[in-house]
Amino acid sequence: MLQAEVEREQELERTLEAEQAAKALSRQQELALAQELSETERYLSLIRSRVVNQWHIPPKSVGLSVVLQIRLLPTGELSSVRIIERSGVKAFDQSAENAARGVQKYPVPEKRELFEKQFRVFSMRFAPS
Amino acid sequence: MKLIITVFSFLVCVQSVYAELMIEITEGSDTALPIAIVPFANKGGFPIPYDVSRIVANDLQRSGDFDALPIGKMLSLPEKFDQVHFRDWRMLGQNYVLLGQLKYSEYTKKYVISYELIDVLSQQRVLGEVLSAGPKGLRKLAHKISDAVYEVITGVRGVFSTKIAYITLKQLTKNKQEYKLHVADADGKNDFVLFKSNEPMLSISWSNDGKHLAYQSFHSGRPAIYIQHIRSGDQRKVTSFKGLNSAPMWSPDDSSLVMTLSKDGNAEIYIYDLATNKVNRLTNHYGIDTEASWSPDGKEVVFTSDRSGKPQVYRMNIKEKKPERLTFVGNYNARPRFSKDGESLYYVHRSRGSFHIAAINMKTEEQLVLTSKTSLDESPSVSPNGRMIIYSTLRGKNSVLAVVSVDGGSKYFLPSNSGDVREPAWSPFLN
Repeated sequence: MLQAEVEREQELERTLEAEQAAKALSRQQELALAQELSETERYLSLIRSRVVNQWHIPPKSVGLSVVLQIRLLPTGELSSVRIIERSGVKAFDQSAENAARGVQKYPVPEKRELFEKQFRVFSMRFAPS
Repeated sequence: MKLIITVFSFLVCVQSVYAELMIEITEGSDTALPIAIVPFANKGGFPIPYDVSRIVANDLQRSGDFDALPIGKMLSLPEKFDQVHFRDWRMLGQNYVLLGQLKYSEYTKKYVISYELIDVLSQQRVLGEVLSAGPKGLRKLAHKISDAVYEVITGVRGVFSTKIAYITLKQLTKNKQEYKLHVADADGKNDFVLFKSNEPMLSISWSNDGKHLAYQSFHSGRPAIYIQHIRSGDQRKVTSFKGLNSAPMWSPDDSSLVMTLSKDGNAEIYIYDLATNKVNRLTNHYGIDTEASWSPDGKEVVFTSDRSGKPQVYRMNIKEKKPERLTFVGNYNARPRFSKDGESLYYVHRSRGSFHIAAINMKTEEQLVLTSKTSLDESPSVSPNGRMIIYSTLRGKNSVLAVVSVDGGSKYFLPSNSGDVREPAWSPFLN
């Protein structure tokens, strides 16, 4: 009886410990994810401002939209750019492609894992507001 | 706000782990597109009356949509595609390079010009042509190259081969003036005088086929409206009713003119049918109604009226004939002209004592003042591609022609050596 109780208590303790450990772990994961997010967001906005500087929007383009797929090297150099959704207006698509090519070097995270996850391949939608 | 939206959409992305990252680009650079126009190589050294590549550079620069690299900054002067060092042009921040060569043929007495437009970033040739022209046709040929370059890059037709008409005024003696009606290239060059008189001329309108001008002239001693054929110079009087005959403008199908007449006692708007010579009265009000302009679909006119006490812009369906007031900001808004797509209206707006060109969006009714550095701006006329407005303004003591882009971005003056220049009218596309 007593033995059983002790065992149960021990069992409970173990579960509790495990739960706490699990919690701590998920907290750590959350933190890491948040960090990764803010890191991603930082590079994302850096890239965006570089591209904006290079984009010469042709006249009468409001309402058009083109999506490009960008492939980068870990150094931030452009490896390829491909139109994956055309606007139907050649000059507009060309202007977006040129904006993507016009960035000499893309700002990318040094952390290789994050680079591979988010920045090796990504898309950009060009749609003037 | 944009950032917040992107962060949010990004979070959504991450939750569906590894969905590809999407960056939203909704704005672009405020600067004009950098282009290098390399001086065309003269093979054979035969003298050339016009610097073709320079005319192209001036055209593109003036459009406000391009920024031409000064020749002094170029690291090399390639003549053809395989001489282009892409790395150099990229370093100079250029998106496009235009290059070419020309050669005089003793046999045909013509210059043969070949040019290529090269996309520096994709390292590809996007345009290439061989053209020829006699010495007198070189300016025209240069404008043709400008049009081709402009259109392939922006997707919008260029206006470098179009023309402008305007009126100059010269004081001959104290009591004697000379008025001249000119037609010139869109860059102000190559002008010729179509008609001259010692009495005033006003309100030029191009027919939509580009062959005729309609205008008001006092040369018979009283106001009358004339139509003149540009190529032959043939002039014919259209109306000289008792009282005012002014502000003619062609209907979109060139079948009639809308104009101001006071034959029935007061300045009103009429449509004059050129085939039947019949008039159709549109307005009926004791205020002054004038300066009418047709909408591109021909269904309505806009005009200036002081029926509210001050000049304001009104619109009217020509069948229903019910005026509707359009402008409410300020106490002077006049001489409206439609944009080519009918979406905007350009007019003269007075604010704080000076006159500016303003635009109103017909859908949102949003108003934008386009000119701020010039004052006493008058008579706006829209380029056929809808990108620029030509108008007259005071510079020093003289009235000169100026051009502003419809977004208010770029501005330039047209040079003139003939006193006061007024009443500009931009032609339609001519070919």
